[in-house]
Amino acid sequence: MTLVQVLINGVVLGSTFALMAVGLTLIFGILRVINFTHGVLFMLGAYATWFLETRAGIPYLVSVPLAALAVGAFGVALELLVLRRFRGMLVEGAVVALALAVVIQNAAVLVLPSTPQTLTTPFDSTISSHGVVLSSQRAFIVVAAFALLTALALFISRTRLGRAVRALEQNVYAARLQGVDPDRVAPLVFGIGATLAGLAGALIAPLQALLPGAGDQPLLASFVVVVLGGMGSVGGTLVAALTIGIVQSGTTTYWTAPAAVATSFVLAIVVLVVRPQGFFGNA
Amino acid sequence: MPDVAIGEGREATAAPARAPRPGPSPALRATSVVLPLALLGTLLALPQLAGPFVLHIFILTFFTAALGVSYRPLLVAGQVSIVHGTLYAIGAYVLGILAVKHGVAFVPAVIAAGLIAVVASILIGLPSLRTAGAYFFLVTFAFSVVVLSLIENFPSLTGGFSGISGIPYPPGISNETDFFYLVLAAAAVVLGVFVVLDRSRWGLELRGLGGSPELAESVGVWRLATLLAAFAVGAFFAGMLGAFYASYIGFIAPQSFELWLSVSILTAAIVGGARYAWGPAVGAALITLVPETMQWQGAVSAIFGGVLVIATLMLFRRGIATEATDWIGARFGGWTRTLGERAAASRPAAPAVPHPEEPLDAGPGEVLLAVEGLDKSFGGVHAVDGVSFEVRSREVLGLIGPNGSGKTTTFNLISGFARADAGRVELAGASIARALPHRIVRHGLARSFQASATFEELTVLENVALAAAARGRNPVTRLLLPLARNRAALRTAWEVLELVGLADRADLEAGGLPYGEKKILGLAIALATRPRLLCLDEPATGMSDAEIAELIKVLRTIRARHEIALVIIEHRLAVIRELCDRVVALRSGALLMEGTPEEVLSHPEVIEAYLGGGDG
Repeated sequence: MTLVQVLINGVVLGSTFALMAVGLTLIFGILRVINFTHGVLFMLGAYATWFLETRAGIPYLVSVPLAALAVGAFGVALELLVLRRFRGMLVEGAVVALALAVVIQNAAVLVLPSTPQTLTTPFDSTISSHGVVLSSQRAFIVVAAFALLTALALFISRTRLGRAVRALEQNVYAARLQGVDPDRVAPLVFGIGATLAGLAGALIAPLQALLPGAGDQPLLASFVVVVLGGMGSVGGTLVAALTIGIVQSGTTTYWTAPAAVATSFVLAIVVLVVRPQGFFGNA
Repeated sequence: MPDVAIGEGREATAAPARAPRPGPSPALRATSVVLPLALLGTLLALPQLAGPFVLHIFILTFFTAALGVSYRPLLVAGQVSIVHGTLYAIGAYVLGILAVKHGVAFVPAVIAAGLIAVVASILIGLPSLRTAGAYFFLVTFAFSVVVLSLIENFPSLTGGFSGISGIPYPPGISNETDFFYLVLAAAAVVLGVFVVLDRSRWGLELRGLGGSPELAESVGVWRLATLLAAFAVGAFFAGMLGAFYASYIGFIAPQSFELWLSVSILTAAIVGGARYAWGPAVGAALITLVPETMQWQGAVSAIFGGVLVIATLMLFRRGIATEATDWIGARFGGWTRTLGERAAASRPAAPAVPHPEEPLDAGPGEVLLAVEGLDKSFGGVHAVDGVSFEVRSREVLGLIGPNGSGKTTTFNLISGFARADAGRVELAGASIARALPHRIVRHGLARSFQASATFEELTVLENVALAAAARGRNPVTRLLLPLARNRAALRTAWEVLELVGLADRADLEAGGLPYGEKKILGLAIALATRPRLLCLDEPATGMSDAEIAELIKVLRTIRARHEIALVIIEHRLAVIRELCDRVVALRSGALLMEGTPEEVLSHPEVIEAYLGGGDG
């Protein structure tokens, strides 16, 4: 396989990591909670798309946004009902999020079919040129991820609400004094993060056989991305997501697939030794 | 991650103040002895009463309980890992590989299992425990996933999915009943070890780190080493327990050690509560016995565990065992003797009465602290801009200036909580500019904080004894000595409490003290490190006039009797005027002027900075 192919595969992988990790880092920035439910949100996005398409007969392209929004709404509910009480509590918040993930994932094991499920996408052709192959679904993933992340960046940098998000991230107390209400911003941020995670799941779903553990590897990869990119840094997260995507794609091609996650983990540890605040963190 | 400025209003996470403990209750004390003995007796008789299936369930419970107990110290220090089950898996595989493939004898193989788990814990702990916050959690989680995937994917070493079978029983063990007693003994030993460790200085340092990491560091606790030790000691036991488990089951494969195992250990510790060493054992019994008795399938017991964790954290934040024990204790009296009672012998017979107006027989002496060209920027803000000053022994120096003028940052720089961009800091001739807080306090520089003034969940005596013991140059033996027997530290602690007038509060939880007494306790904690130079960050803020008068009396006594130099940041200028020999005024990070209190406080530019300054 050519180097160009490895890079392209890496960018595809990196785009989904970015969709996951940006939400993770935003949620951490606002709630100070390590959101262990991000993996199950990914899984729910994938299964919601599968359900809408195969059981309700809704076309894939309509199912994807519906599934993402449903996961987003579920995320808002999680924040309002449970995680809100643990805002700012690093240890308890992470433990509760982990417990929620365990409950949701095992409930999925009980409810969902135990055999791997598949779904179809209209993007079933492949683009190939000069020996480089790209399925149109993968191209769609990159385009969709790029569009949404750009929209998110604009939302955060340009809008009033985005400014409130950034203010809360820096200093809850000072933001409150300026009239920013964390009780209203936090569910919104959690909803955005959940929507993006659900979207990542919906986009990847046609490329793999679905099982309730579908979110485990993406969760792990986005943790590694967040360690590498610096917790709370959106720009760093994007660069780190692409880096990890390319590293994993390279490891899979030139070595072996099981080593891909281990390699990126070792990379994150090395970065932590050299720069404890993350490679792009400025804290 | 935005940096939280040390000493500047941390986000409040303190538990609500609890009512002071009533005196000891003889009935509860008897119960606290009889109940464990009765439980032990029942368990010892169990093989005569129950069949093999029940014994099997109890053996699994003992394993989980021992894992939970050995996991707990990290949790006490406010760190969560999701790797304890993975270290247990590593131990199991080490025994499997050594005993089955290489014919190594059982005992050395078990010890190797423990030691290899320790090596793994240090490899991941050393880089990730250095950072504050969430990275340790993330890194341990990622490490677990990676190790479990390596176990699946390296069949030449681990047997892959077909695992390793034919793992022998330990020598001298021939049936399930023998194994029941062996694992019961192992769990009892683990519990005993951690109960003893809990009462040592190391145990108290872990609780201090869990309550207020900065305050703990400021009194001499080496954060990284203390946490790493907790992680490694836990890993040693996890590895050995894993080896016993492999031997018990006889066959190990990846599906025996899913990530859920690490999560369930965490669940046991959270549900039981981390305050008492045996709390996680209660949690382990609950999450093992209930699903096994109900014969639930894996997913249902996982949901049970998850719901239990969420419910516990929402309803009984400190864990079921902790909350129940403390509730009964608060209602009917103390379960066990308090540190104050156990340490009563170390209390000085004739309490020293403070002499408020004792004259100072000598004026300021030689230079104790020399600060030169201190410089620090945060992003674009020049917080401290080339500040130089000196403090002589026995001198009281005031540090004043409007909010944001760099006073607290200066304190953070000289006490090691922030690193200067440039400049020199020398304490009695030794450079401390690059040292960590726990080293600086050993040189004799102590500091107090505006916020996080005390360890809220420790008693008053424990607060001060922790500081006195941590600062001491004790070898490792003293580190593990029960605190109640550390006479030197306790004597210092009692003296300091007598000096500040808190000796009668010794056994009250610091979190329940009124505000003024908390501030005084913060001062006592710093004093217990026996400093030559004491830096106080707004000691009088928020105090009533009567409390301030008392504070001034105490500070005068300290200076006169103990020859301690003081640097005081304070906005209450009356305190500065009353106490200080000399005053340094800062404005926008730079030195504005220096002189006697009268000179500085009446200087037009100082008045302007306070009253007219835009940054106040």
